[in-house]
Amino acid sequence: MTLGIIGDYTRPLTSHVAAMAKLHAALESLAGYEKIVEGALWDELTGFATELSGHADGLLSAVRLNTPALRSKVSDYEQLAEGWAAVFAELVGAESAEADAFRQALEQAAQDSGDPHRAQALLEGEAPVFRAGAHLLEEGVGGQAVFLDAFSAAVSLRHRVAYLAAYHRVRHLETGGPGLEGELESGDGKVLATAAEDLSDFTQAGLTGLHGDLVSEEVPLQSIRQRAALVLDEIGPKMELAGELLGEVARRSVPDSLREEVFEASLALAEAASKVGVLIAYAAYVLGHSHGLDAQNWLAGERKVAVELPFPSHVPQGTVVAVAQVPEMTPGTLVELRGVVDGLEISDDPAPPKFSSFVTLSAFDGSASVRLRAHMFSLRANGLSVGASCKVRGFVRHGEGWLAEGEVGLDIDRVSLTQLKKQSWVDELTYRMRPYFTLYLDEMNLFNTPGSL
Amino acid sequence: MSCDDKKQAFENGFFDLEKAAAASDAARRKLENRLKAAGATCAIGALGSVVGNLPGLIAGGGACIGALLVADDAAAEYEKASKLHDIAARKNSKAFLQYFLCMRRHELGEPPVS
Repeated sequence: MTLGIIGDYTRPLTSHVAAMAKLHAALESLAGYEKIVEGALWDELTGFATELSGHADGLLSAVRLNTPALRSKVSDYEQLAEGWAAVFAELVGAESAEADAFRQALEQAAQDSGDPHRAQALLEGEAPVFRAGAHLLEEGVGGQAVFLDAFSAAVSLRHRVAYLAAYHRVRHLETGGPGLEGELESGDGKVLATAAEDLSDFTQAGLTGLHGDLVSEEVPLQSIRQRAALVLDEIGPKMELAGELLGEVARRSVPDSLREEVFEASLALAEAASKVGVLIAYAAYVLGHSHGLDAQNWLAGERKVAVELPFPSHVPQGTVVAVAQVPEMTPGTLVELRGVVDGLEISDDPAPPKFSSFVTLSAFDGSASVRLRAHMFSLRANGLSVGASCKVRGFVRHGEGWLAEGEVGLDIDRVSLTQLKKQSWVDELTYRMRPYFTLYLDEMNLFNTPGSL
Repeated sequence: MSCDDKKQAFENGFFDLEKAAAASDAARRKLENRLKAAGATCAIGALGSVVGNLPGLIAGGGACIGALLVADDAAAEYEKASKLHDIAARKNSKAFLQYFLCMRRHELGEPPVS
């Protein structure tokens, strides 16, 4: 039995000096994200991603060291409690004069301490001393919670930041070697489309696999953990590639003949790079919790959600139309458009009197444009930029105060995950993972490239 | 953008969690010392020798009973402290998620042209 107190992982992580030092460093680093975004410090993104990766490793290793050690300590407490309970049970049944005297002395002492029921509780094995193991376990679970939250946040942010870093790094390359300058060529669109398809398939396979594992009671925790770990092992290069390819499109000029194909494929890649964020966040969440003290209870909860909810997302899609077709659409129709952001401003919105973001979205060939409104939200703060390719879903509007006479515009749809999560496992996950990765920023039903193309 | 209020709430919660963890750690160490003392006083030693050692318990007499009640008091204190730790951990986790929900609402777009 080991009831020693020397610095080891048998204590809750929140009481472990070295583990807390790791946590402090990770939290400080995570908080740095706000400064990077505010300062638009794109050249710091690569270092930041590396830093987050190191913190994520440290946090997970603290949890992995803690779980078996603390469990063993809980077991010590429980065995001790069982031993004491057995001796007391023996005492209750003993018929010797010494045993009688001991029982009476115990009752008297309990009486003197102000709580006469304590003697009975001790003799029946129900006193606090018998519950120490359960409380240590509970404390251990609570102590791991912040480590697991920070781990999921660090992993998710790391991959998103690595993607953005790759985009900006390549885009801002001042010189390129032979073949790295000039216009994109025919065939480049295909490369982008293949990368988009690969990333999209990866997300679909990852989520379908995890859902299937959770639904089937026969799949053990270890297998689910392995699937999550595999996702995280493989995603790094895919995100880097996505960012680099989009950076390359932004750095080079795109001939008019390829414009539509390249911009469509770039947009598909950007959308895939966003959607995979939910899988990354969930894989990190699964990996972390599967190593935690509460892994079995946590898994039971995850299984319950997966069994209750069908897989497919119910996020509204709308009718796919070209930008030029919008004026022909019936007011109130939900449509899906793709195009380039030609204008982005925040200005006063006549009704109600508050600011809104107004976007001018042009067709890829520049033949038509339409104005979009994000009512009372700043799309710039969400990373939308002039020159970005954008896929957006929204409701057709005529005769609104923010539109000129005869103009037809679009109110951007908002994805109400609080409702959708009741009908779909993917939407429930997208909702729950928002602190680690928010797919629909401000619930806006849109996807965009990280900067201009 | 500013998530300052959420950050502050998280930092306050984190401070409370650290305080609760320190209190709980102290209570747990006290409990462990009291358990050891009770084992020694009741002459039943460590875990391996607890079972079936009723004579040892009885031989400890009044001192053993006193030590048992002291250990039980320490266990009650630990129970209270660990519950407070649990509450602080839950609050902290909630504050963390709110803070990061705010931070992840923003993303780097086009940097200003230098």
